[in-house]
Amino acid sequence: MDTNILVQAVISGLLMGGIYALVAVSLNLIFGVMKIINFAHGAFMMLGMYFTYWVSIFLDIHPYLSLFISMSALFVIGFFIQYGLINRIIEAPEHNQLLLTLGIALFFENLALFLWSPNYRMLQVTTLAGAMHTHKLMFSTPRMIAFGAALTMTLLLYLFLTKTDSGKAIRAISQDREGAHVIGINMKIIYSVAFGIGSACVAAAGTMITPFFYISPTVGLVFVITAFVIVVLGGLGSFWGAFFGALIVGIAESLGEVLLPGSLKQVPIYSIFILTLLLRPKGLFGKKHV
Amino acid sequence: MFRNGTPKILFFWFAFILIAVLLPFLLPSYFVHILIMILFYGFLGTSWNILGGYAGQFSFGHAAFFGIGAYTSTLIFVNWGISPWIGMVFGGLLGMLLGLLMGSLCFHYGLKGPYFALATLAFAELLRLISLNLDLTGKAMGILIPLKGNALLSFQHESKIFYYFVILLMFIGVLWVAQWIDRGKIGDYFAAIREDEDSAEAIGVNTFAYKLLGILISSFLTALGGTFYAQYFLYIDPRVTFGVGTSIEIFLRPIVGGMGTVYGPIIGALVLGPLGEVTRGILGGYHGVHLMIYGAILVGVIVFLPKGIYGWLDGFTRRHKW
Amino acid sequence: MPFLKIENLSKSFGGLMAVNHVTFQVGEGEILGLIGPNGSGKTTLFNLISGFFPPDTGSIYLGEESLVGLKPHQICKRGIGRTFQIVKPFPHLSVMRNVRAAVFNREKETNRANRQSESLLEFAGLWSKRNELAGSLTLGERKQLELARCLATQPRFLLLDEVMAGLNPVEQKQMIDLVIKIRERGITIIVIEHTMQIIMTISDRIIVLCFGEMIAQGVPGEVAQDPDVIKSYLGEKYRFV
Repeated sequence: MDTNILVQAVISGLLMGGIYALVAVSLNLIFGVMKIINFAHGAFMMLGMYFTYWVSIFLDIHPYLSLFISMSALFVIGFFIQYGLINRIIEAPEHNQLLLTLGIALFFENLALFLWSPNYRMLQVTTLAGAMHTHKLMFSTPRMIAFGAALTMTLLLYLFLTKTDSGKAIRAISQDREGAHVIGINMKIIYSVAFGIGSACVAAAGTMITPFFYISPTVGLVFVITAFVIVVLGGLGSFWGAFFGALIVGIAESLGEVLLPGSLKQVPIYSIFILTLLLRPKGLFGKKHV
Repeated sequence: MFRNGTPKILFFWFAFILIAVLLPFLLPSYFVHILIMILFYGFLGTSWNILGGYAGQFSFGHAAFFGIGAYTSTLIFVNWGISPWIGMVFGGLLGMLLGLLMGSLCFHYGLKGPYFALATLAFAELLRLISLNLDLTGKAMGILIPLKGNALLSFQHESKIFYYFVILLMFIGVLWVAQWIDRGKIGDYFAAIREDEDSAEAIGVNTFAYKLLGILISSFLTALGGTFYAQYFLYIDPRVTFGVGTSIEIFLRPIVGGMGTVYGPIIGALVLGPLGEVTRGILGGYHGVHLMIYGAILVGVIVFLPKGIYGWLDGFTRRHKW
Repeated sequence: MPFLKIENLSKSFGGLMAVNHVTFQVGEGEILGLIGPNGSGKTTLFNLISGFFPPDTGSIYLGEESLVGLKPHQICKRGIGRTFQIVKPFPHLSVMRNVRAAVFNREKETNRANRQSESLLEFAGLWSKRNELAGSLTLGERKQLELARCLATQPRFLLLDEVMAGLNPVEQKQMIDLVIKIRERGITIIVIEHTMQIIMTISDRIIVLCFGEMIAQGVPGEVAQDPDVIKSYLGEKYRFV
């Protein structure tokens, strides 16, 4: 096998991994704070993509310019879903929460199906398009920009969680629910903010890939399952675990694509997932908190 | 169900059987189809419930067993001409084998709750991907089952009434299995495992063995449902057999109707079935749109009726659950 | 021969020695008291004996048979029952079903199991609550239920982990009577308790753990005078007669 192809695969995998990182890290935030496995995460990404699509077409602007809109919209949606629905069952058994988010995912995915049909859509982007070529390797420009944007957002999220008061409040809750309650942090609001932020971030990830990724109602499912794999691999609750897990999975998937025929590229991912669950459910970096 | 033997219960059953037998002859074909689908998902839901509701091991990947059943009987029939009735049994056994594999791995490593759910999902997805890429299973095109007309021995008939009675019998059968489990030692042990595994171990329950028993029974029955599906629709592909959507449709009925109860799944099927049809009628064409309503119902049930419809009715009538 | 023989038993968690080379024996029909300050390893010892954790070193013999490496349900089958410090009934099942699930350990047939459950409930004083959900019982009732459930498995040996904790004096008296009735049935018991008065009155012998080590053993009178024991309890609340 031509090493060139392999290196190319690693590069595209890495670039995609950056996107996965944003998706995984935001999923992790929600899990870390509220111990909720959020199945709707992918659906929110999908919504972000559709919002971007429509705004982009309607206003005839580059999709990235709609970032603020898709993020705000999903922040609001996420906030109220947490506030109105999930908060009510925060004390319920875990699988109830899983089912709730699943129900929300089903609702939104099929709402999108109903409103916008299952047809794949693509945005045609003319600015910042094309690719750079060096050393017989191709670097797709939109993917590189998406990678950079995703990394920036991930970093911003990290800084928010570690340097700001709200961020610290969120982390306090994730580490010790009762303790945080005692010192007067308003749990419901913080939960909703955290959920909103997580949703906004994944919407951003959606926006960032619209220049080169297809848009459809079911696109979220693929991403959310991959995100679960990443988060479990990296250790539920570990920020950097999710981050590096994402890069690893991105590369693994990309290599799988060149080495295995057809859609089998996901087989290594699911296999790693099962093995991780069985052997090291705490993941490679297994920590308890964000 | 049978333990009291009071005349009231017997009368109810007699009436039910009478109605059930007459109904398909009185209704137009479309409604018979709806009844078939209700009984079909009632069957699958009750099978799932044995592992998920009784024993508390929530599976997101029952499509794996369903698909194995569907593909096994279909491949045996299409390639070797062996009757799907026989293929059904083989499918069940293979499904059970898969259940043994999955259960042994997951339970040995102590996977519980969401981790177990996600692992089962991953298994089902693996099977879907494999069948999507194997020539044997027809890849993405799936397999068309050749029309044999009115061939009861080949599990086919032109009239829906045949399928109705098959699924009716299957459903009654699985219902009997469910209530038999529920009222004996196995039922108590499953309930104990569901409530508190450590406590169950302390009173002598071999939790590993019984969880395994749960998945063996559940997987066998679910695989049978796969064969029925194949023979009714005469077409299978990786998505409808192994897809996430199928797993969801399977556990949705028990959850809405009431997990861990004998009649929960069929109640769920009775609610969701007609609702799905009505939704499809109103909202139109795209496959899966009814899931939007199902999603909303799922959310509603989890938030407002966490014990499902049966549990809600039960609390309503103030009877203590035995 | 001693009924239960523990030799050199040790268990550490992440570098911390919870149980440190503990050795003792229990004779058949005895009530052995197990005391010690919080965190001294008493519950861990129970967890080791009942198979919830494997020991790092040491042996556990029930008669001639080693219990090390067996799973909790196997140990239950061999006749050792235990209660939990924080009671663990099956909350959404009725009291009756809680007990019946345990009865099925020895009895396969449902009708006979029902009858045995009923008589156990009477013995434990829970007959009137048999159809209530276990989660709705008071703490005292839940402890009685846990004990009844334990007895349903027909143990020869019982590990009671702080059955008195959190009970009011009336409930405590009932519980003590129950424990004595159990002993009269010929069952050997190890009791963990914090209330000195109770332990001193019902135990035949007492062993004392501190930081995982056994620092004293003997009849109640001796142990009460032991300087090491008194020292280990300084700063600890206790009621002493």
